[in-house]
Amino acid sequence: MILALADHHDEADSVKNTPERLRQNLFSERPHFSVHVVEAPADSDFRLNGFSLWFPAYSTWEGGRMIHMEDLYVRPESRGTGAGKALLSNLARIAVSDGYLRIEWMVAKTNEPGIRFYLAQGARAMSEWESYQVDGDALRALAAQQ
Amino acid sequence: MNRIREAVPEDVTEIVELIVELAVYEREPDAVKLTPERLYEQLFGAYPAIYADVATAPEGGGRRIDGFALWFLNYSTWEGEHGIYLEDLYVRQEARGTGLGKQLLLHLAHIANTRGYKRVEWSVLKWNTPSIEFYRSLGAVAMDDWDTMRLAGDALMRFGSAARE
Repeated sequence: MILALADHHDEADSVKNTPERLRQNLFSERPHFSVHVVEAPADSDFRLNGFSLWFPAYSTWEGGRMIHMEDLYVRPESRGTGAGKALLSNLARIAVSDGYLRIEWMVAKTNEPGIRFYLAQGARAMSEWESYQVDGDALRALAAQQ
Repeated sequence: MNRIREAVPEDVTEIVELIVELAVYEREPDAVKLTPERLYEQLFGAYPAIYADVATAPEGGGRRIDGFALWFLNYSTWEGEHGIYLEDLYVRQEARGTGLGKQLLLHLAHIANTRGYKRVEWSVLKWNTPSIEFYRSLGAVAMDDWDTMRLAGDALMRFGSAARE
């Protein structure tokens, strides 16, 4: 499903992750992230119909933890069944009960159905902020200067 | 001379002062709910999940630190690797232009590279042109195909308290 999600973003080649690596990351002694799943019906070819993957993030202004949702995905065959909403509301429940102050995630600007869905759940776009990243050769070049 | 080192408990009070200065710079002076006591527990308590590095101030100036970087680990499902999320990078007004911001960022790049993390990521206010120019000069790219969404406050409460179907 991670591959299907990347393919949805036309970025299937970007996925370097493997089941072995994910298993190692997720079930290590001190995992840094969690996965929740929507089970498929017993007569389905699949075990799972969707998943969310998240980790705790931190806000200096609030002085506390929040949930960063890295991925939310539902199989195309299972869309419109409320699975996405169930995954998101499960995280909201965890946030409220465990004291995470908010849930944040990124959405591709071209993903209009996704954005409409999120806005309908009461989320808002942080459009005054832009994300930046440094990776690959640029990251190695910076590291070498130190 | 490298003035970057890991934060120690004695730095906490000044780090919180700088967090407030940064919020003022970002035009949100009342946004900071963090206290030194809470940050101390979060950085040096039993289960720290955040990290801070500081730029030390020159001796004799009455200050311990001139800047700081506060960060935590994120995870990319595409890379299958952790990365560094830089929550705050700040250098005191009086210490700007001396290369401390760059030293702090190079330090994080070095940590990432040494540990096999694939990227360093952060958010910047779109009107903050001096910072954006600084980040670009170091090879950072804007993720301008993406928007950050947030579910917080009453909307989160309502959503999270609703009975499970």
